[in-house]
Amino acid sequence: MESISTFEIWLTFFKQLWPVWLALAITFTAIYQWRARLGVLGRIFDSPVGIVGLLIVLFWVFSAIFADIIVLFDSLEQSGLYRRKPPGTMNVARGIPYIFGTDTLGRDLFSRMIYGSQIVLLIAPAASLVAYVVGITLGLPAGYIGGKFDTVLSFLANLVLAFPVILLFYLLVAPGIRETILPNIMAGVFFIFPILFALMVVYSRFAERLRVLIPSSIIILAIGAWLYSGLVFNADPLGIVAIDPGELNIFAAVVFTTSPGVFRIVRGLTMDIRTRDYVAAAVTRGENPLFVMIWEILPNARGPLIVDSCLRIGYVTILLGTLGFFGLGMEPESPDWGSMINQTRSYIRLVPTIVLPATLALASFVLGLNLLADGLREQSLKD
Amino acid sequence: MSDAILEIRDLSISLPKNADRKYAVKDVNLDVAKGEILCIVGESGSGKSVMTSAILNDVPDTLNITSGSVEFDGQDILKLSQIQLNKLRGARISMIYQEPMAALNPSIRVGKQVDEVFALHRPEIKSKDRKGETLKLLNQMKLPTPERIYASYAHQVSGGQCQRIVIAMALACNPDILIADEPTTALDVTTQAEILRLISDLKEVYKNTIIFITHDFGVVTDIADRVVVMCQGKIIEEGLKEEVLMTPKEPYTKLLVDAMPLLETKRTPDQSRVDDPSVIVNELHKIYKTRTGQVHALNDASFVLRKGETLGVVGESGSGKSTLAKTLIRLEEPTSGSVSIGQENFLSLSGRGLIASRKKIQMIFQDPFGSLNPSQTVGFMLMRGLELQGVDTIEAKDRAIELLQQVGLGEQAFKRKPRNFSGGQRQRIGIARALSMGPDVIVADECVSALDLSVQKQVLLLLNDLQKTYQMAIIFITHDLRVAAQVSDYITVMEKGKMVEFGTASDVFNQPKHEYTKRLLEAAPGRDWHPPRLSAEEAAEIAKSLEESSLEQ
Repeated sequence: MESISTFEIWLTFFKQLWPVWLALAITFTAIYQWRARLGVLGRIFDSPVGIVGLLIVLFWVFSAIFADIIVLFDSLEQSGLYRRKPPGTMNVARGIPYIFGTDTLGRDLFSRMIYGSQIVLLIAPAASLVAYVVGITLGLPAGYIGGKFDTVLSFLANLVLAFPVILLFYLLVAPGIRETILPNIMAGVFFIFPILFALMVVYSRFAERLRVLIPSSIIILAIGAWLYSGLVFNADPLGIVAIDPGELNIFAAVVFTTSPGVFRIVRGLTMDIRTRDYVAAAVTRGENPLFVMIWEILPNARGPLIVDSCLRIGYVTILLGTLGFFGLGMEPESPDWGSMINQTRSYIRLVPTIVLPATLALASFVLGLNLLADGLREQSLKD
Repeated sequence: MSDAILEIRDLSISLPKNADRKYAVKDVNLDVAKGEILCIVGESGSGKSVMTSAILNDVPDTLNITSGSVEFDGQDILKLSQIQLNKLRGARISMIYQEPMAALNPSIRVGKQVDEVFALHRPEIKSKDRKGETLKLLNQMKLPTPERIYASYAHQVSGGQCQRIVIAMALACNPDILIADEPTTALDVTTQAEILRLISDLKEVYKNTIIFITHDFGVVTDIADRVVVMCQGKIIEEGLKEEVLMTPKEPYTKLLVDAMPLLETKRTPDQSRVDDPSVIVNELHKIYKTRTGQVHALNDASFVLRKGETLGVVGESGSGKSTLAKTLIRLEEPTSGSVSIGQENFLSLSGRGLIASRKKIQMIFQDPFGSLNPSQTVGFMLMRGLELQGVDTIEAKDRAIELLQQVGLGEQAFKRKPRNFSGGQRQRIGIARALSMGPDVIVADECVSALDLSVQKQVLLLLNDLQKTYQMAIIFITHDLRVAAQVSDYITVMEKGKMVEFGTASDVFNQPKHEYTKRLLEAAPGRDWHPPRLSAEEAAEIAKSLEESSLEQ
């Protein structure tokens, strides 16, 4: 069987990833150029750990964006001739090497790894974002007003957090559940929060100025209703927004398990910032509680929240890997990293490198996020 | 000087590269004579603490000693090894810190911590005798029930007692030099007076040399033999206490002494006024319920204040003066009583009515760093209050800029965020923010106590001018009798939640009726000192020339 040397493997690897290198160079130059205006992100250059983290994270972001240019094979393209081949094996008929080898169906591991980043980078940040909006919308009033509202919500959050996550996923993402209406109900509840939050932001700022308040509320409601119909009911009148039912199920489940953590952080930060004098100044000025929460407290909680969001995207990535590994929610053919690890792990003794692409991809992305969080924390402390 | 115990020569300590000046301490030469009390005076950032940290070779990691020597007992402290330093620190040179609570380990009984010093530096005392020695020492610190204190934790004793324990630790080995870094700043006036007396008394016994760092000229008067004035990392003036305090030579010292408020009242209210009062407070009570019982934080506060008048509320920590402020502006609900602002019963309002009336009473806060939202621009803060009252955007912006100019901060402040301003400037912004609501009453809670003397003076003058323009009634809460004397028409003294004394400022200062008021007046540091005054023109001239010379550098 024809194969290429280790050096040629890496040469091909670097060559294939040229759009990523180019994009990285451009982004870093841009960030460096405008670093004075970018706040915490600009100061990341003072922290070596942060730079490394940002590099790794952006590497995967650009890999996902340019996946179609980078890959050597299609993610589903099988070959009976080349099954479980070691790295560097040449597909003679096509004249293209399998630089990271093939899996048990003869699919290119390198290409699947790159396509896998698309799944992770779509779901993990989006689910974290929605979880954040849910957590903030509930955590701010819980921390600011307290009382019964806080007691009930904190109890519910603790309840969810106390439940073993994997078990929860077996309950929420099982095939039987997917056929019921439950995922849609959950998604329906969670997707209301972004609309609600946007309305709160606008109302709190412009409560006195109806000329601004009314049109902006109408715009928010219109956009919200459009996205909502597409995402929750899969019935977008314009036919642009659509989501696979399996992905919607995963999405809802991830938000469900992640938002209680965010809720608790936001609640804690709010309880701390609430005691500052500038909050007292706003209250004595006659601001409504919504304004105090969203415009006086939330912006000053952003440092810890940005750091936590990096970590949380990492947790969600691991969660997605776990889901894929157990075959929950994902299509059997899907090139997500968790499924890849599961499908290849039985052949470690035959081809020791077979699990490495997906494993290292997953690990490096999470590591990158953690390093970035460390760097940002270091820099945001200097504020 | 032949009898110098400590000689600092050409000491320079550099700051990190992005700081506002290059050196924390620059070319300092200083002799400390054996047995004297040397006061190092300076405003915040003058380098006084950094310089003394070099005496123990304990300069913070971010700073660098670039040159110089500290001669003590024939050796250069800056060149000693860690082991030699450990023998020196605590035994021959020891330190008292500003925050007594922070200087003690919260999880070890305080007596054990004093024992520790004996164990470390005086091995000749056997372990079974240590407790006896410690108790003897605590007794000498005039601590009541030394046995009980010995077995207490730091949080179980008061701030003044904590400071006595820290002093005991510092004196345990009878050091040659005792360095005290603002040891009384965190304490109440009466406690401060006691600690200062204790330090002077102990010096008679122990005969040590004391280096005393402070920003308060009152304290200097009470305790110093010799004074060193620092500014911008340099020693500006040095001399005997009487010379520096009564006939300062350097312009900077002159200004500093001039900024010291006098212990004399300035304003006399017109008591025959019959116009409607701005604020009437009647039998205000606030009771906090705790697990063990209840605390009567505010007990029967009543007063009347008219347009353009100022009530000084004086008291020590825990006297209920901040509770008074919070209940007046309804950040906390009083247990009973009434507050009327103008014709309106402020306490009976709720919901929208309360929100609409809040603008009538505004607050200026103590901490210039915590009271401005760091994520908002100054313009936003000032405009927001106006917009809430329905002023349209363009008009609000004009008014905001006008206010900025009135508080002495030009238009360019409009777009900046609080982190670009110094403490004094922030406090001006806080004042502008309160004024933007057009209040009838302003509650100023310790609004100048975090500021340096010279800045404090300017802010007080500003407040005075603005009061003349806007005729608001001010409730001025302070722990500092001197400040209260400057601004108040009426003064009330609070103790344990009660207003124990109420009267016109001059009555309270000259004929105090209540015992507690007399004690407070007696404890005021430097009460026998009458600092020389500059005329306004002279002061302005000196300030201008100083500014010019600092620009040249």
